[in-house]
Amino acid sequence: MSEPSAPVEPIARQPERASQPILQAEGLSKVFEVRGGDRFGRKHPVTVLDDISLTVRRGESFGLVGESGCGKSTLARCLLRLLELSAGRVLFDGVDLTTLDRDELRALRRRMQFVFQDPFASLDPRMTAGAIVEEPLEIHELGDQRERRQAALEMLADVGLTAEQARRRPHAFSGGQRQRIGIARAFVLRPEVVILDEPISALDVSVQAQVLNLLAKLQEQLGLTYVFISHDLAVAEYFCDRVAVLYLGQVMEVADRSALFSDPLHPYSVSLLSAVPVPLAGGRARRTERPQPIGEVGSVIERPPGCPFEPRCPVGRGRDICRAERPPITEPAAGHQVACHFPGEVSVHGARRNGAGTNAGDGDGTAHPGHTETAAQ
Amino acid sequence: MGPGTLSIGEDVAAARPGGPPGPDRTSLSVRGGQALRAVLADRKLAVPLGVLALMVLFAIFMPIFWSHGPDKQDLINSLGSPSASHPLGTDQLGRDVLARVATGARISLVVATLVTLAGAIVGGLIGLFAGTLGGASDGVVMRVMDAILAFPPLILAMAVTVGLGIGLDTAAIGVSLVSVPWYARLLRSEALRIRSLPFIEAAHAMGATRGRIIARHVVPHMLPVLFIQMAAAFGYAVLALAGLSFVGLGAQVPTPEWGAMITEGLSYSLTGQWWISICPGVALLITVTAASMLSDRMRDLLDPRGQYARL
Repeated sequence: MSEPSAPVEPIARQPERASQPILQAEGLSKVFEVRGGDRFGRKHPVTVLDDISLTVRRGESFGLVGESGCGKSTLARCLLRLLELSAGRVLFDGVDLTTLDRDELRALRRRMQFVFQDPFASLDPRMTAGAIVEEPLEIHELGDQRERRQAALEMLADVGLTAEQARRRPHAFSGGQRQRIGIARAFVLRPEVVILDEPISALDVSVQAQVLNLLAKLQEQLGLTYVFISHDLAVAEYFCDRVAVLYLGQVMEVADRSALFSDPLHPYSVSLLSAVPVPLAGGRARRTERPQPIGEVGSVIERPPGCPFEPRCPVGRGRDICRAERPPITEPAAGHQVACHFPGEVSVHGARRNGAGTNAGDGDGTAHPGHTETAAQ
Repeated sequence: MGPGTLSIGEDVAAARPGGPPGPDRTSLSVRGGQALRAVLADRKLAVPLGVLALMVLFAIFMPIFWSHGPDKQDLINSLGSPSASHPLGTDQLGRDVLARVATGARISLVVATLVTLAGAIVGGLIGLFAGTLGGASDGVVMRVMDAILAFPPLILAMAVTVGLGIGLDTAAIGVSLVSVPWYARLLRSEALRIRSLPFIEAAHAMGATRGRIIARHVVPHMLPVLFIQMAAAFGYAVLALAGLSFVGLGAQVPTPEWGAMITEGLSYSLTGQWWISICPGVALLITVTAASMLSDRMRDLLDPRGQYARL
C-alpha cells in the first residue's frame, strides 16, 4: 500500500537538460476586484501579483516559496491560465498562453498539469479512483476505452494503488492515498510541466516524505518539469533545483538552491531562513540569532509604493530609497537574481549550512557590510 | 446512517486476496441489492416509501379488480353506509366510494407526477443554466423567478387556471408553473456551490470542456437536492390539485378526483353520511404525509450540507 520511505537526502538531477526555458512569466500581474471595504460596497482593485517575471527551465524543479497570502497559489493558477492574467503573458514552450482561444488552451493542457493542495476536495467524491485517473485520457480522447482503463490502472500501480483499490471512491482512501490519486490523474497524460500546489502540506508528516519521494521518482522516470509551491523551506530545499521567494505578490529573489540557502541576498530571504528551527544534536531545536522581520506580514491592499518589504525590513526600514522606489531586479551573481536596494547587507553566512549549531559563534546577526563575493557586482 | 453501513460489503470484497481485477464498477444487481437493504433498514425511509408504493398499487389494481365502477350509479342504494359489498359506502348517486377513491388515486398520482416532472425539468434547467452561465442572463431569469414567487402559490395557480379555462389540465399547468421558481432557486444555488468546489477546477485543469464539466461533475452533484425537492413538490402538487378541484377550479363534478369528491360529499357530512368526504380526504392525507416524510428523510440522508456521499 505504501511507498517505502527512503532516507531524506537531496535528489540528483540531470543538469544537461536544465537549460532551455519551458515556462516563462513576463510581467505577470493579477488584480482582483474586491467588493466591500467601504460602506457602499464599491469594487476596488487589489493587486495580488505585481509584475512577476520568472523562467522555469526544462527538467528542473522550480520552487515557489513565501508566507501565506503572498500569492503563490494565484501565481500557480496564472501560470497555467486557470485564472486570467490582468497583465503580462505566460509562455509555455514558446507559446503565449494569453493569446490562445479556449479550445487551443484545452488541447495544450494535456502537456501541463496541476496537482492540488487539498486531496479531499480536489477529487470528485462520486467517481471511483479508476474513473478519476481515466478521465483526463477520456477528455483528450487518447486510446479506446480498454486502453484508457489499462493506462489508468498502470498509472495507479505506479503510485502504489492496486486494481482492487481503483474501484473504490475517494472517501475510502487516506489523505496520502488520495493525493497519490491526484498525482496519478495529473501524470497519466504524460505532461511536460506539472505544477504542484503545496502537494504535501495537507498530509500527515508521516506520509509527506513518501509523496515527495514518489514525485521525485516520477520526475526521473518521465523527465518532467516541476513548479513546486511550498511554504515549507526545508521541503523546498530538499526538493527544488531553483527557488523563487515571493513576498506580497512580488519576486524578491531567485537563485539556485545552494546559493539561496547558503547565501541569501535579500533581507526577506534571510528572515525566512532565520525562522527555520535548526535541530541540535541533543534533540532540541534552536532558532538562529538572526534579524527577524518586524511586525506582521503586510497587506496587498495597502501596498507600499517602494519595496513591499520595507516596513518590516531590518535593513531598509525607514530608508528613503526603499520607501519610495521599487527595487530593480539585479543579478549580482550568475543565475542569482534579487530585487533589493541593498542586497547582501544581512546574511546567514555559515549559520545553517554548517549545521548542527557547531559554529554558532560565527555571524551573530550583525550586518555584513559588503558581503563581498556576491555584492561586488 | 453511519459511514460503515454501506461500505461493509465493499471492504469484504476488497480484502479478498488474489481476486482477479474484475470490471471497474460493482455489478448493478449487487449494488441494487445493497441499496434496497439499506433502504429497508432505515424505517423513516422505508415507511413513507412503502405507503406510497401501496398507494400506487391501490391506484393501479383496485379499479381493475373491483367489481364496482366509479361512475356506475345505483340510486336505490344511494348514501349507503360502509358494508360488505361497499366497504366505504356509497354516495348520493349510489356510486361505490371505494371505487371512486381508487380511481381518484390514479388521477392524483398521475397528474401530480406529471406536474412534478414538468416543474423539475423546467425549473431545474433554468437553475442549472442560471447557476453555470451567470452574468446578465442569470440576473434576468432569477428576477422573473422572484416575480413569480411574489404571488401566493395557490392564488397564482388559481389565476392561471381561470385564465386558461377551468379544468384539471389547466390546474396542472398552474401548479407546475408555481413550482418552477422553487426548483430554479434551489438548483441555481446548488450549481453555484458545486461550481466553486476544487474538483471542478481540477476538471478544468485537465482540459475538460464546460459542457463536460457540467454534465459529468456539476449535474450529478445536483441530483440529490433535486430529488429532495421533487419529493416535497410531489406532495404539494397532490394537495394543490385537490385544493383547486375542491374550490371548483380543477377536475369537474363527475370526475372522481379527491378534491372534487370532498366538495361533493361535504353537504352530506352534515347529515351524517361522513364517508363520502372523509374517505377521499383520508387518502389525500396519507399520500401527502408520506411524500412529506419521504422528502424530510431524503434531506437528512442526501443533503450535501449534512452527511453526504454515503448512498
